[in-house]
Amino acid sequence: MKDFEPLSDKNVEALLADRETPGLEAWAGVIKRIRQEATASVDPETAGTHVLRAAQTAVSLPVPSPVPSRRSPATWRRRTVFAGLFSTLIGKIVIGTAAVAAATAGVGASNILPDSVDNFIERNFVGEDELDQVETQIRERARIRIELESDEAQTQTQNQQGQDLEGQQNQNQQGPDLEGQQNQNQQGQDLEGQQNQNQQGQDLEGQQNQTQMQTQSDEQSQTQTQTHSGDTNQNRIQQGDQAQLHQGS
Amino acid sequence: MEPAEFRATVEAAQAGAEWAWSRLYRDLAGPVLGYLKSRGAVEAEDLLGEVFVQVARNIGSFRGDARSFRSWVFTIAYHRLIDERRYRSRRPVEPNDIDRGGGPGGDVEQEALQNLGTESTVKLLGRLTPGQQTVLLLRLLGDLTIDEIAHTMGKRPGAVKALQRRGLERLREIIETEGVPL
Repeated sequence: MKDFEPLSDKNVEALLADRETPGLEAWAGVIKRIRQEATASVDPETAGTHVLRAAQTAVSLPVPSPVPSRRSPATWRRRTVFAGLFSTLIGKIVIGTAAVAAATAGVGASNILPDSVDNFIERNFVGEDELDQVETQIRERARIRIELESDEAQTQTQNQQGQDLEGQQNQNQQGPDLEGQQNQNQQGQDLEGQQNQNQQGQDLEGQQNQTQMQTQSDEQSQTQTQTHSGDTNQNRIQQGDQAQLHQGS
Repeated sequence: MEPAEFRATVEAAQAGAEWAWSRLYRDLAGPVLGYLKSRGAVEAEDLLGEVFVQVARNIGSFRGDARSFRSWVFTIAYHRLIDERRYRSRRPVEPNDIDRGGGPGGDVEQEALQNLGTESTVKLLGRLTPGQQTVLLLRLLGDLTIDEIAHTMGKRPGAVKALQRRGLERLREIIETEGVPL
């Protein structure tokens, strides 16, 4: 097949832009078929769910924008929905109100407004009914935000109370536990003290017994000593007597 | 969509008008879903929903025409697909995945192509490298420029152009040698 000539960059751009490309009809046909066949159909029920979710998300409260990735630092990914919302709606209300006031005063009619404001009004102001609708939406969103903040504050208060209550319960529990511990310690001390006394009593009794026995023993020794001393003295007297007898003869 | 009509639709979508979102969804959901499926998204429809939620979150700050809106949506789809792949790569393989022939990320793209039916030209894309597939699909379905794709993929414009050129060259070889009916 020689219908598929090599494509230059210029031809590619022309084909992709659906521009007339003489001699490249085969390529044009391939590109067209890819576009048709690659387009998938969505289940109607799924499509309805997606649409509803997108519509609700668009009017939900602003969420923080995600951290921009290194790959795609596109400007629109950095801006928050909140900033975008206000820049669109508040801007419309402010300018719209000014435009209405200016028109009433005849200022707008006499072209006194600066060109940039005129251009902005022409580009964005679509009518008083639209303005009322936007204003109502802003009030509704503010009300929802106040309710959410109130709920959040209430939740925080409840959490704090819950923590305080939990802390109090812990202290109360520690109280009885501590008291019980103290009682046990006291009983233990008492018991120990009692044991010590008993032991001391036993020791004292034992000591008394020993002392008594010693005393008895000492008395017996003393008696024996006296007896022995008496015998010795008697012998000396007898020896003395004998000596005198010898001298007398 | 005409420029004025598109502008009004976007403004209404910013205010949460369901009809506006329905319109935007109708224009873009098919190509975005096709892109996600062609690139092997496992739960492509769920991912499509997440893409539109992301669009809804940031639509308040969008400024541009219909073409730039389309490019923006496809950029979001590209990044969500990468996030889904990273999430899947951390999950263990489930028995259902094995039964369907989609192992731990190996045959998911082939499975996605099979799910697309007998679309021969789309199956051709499955025979390109992932980079070539991404570039061609973003150009063909998303209408992104070379510079936009380079910015999205984190590549130089020259590299993206090369992927585009090689992808088209590969398509041409396959068509010429295998005679794929067109």
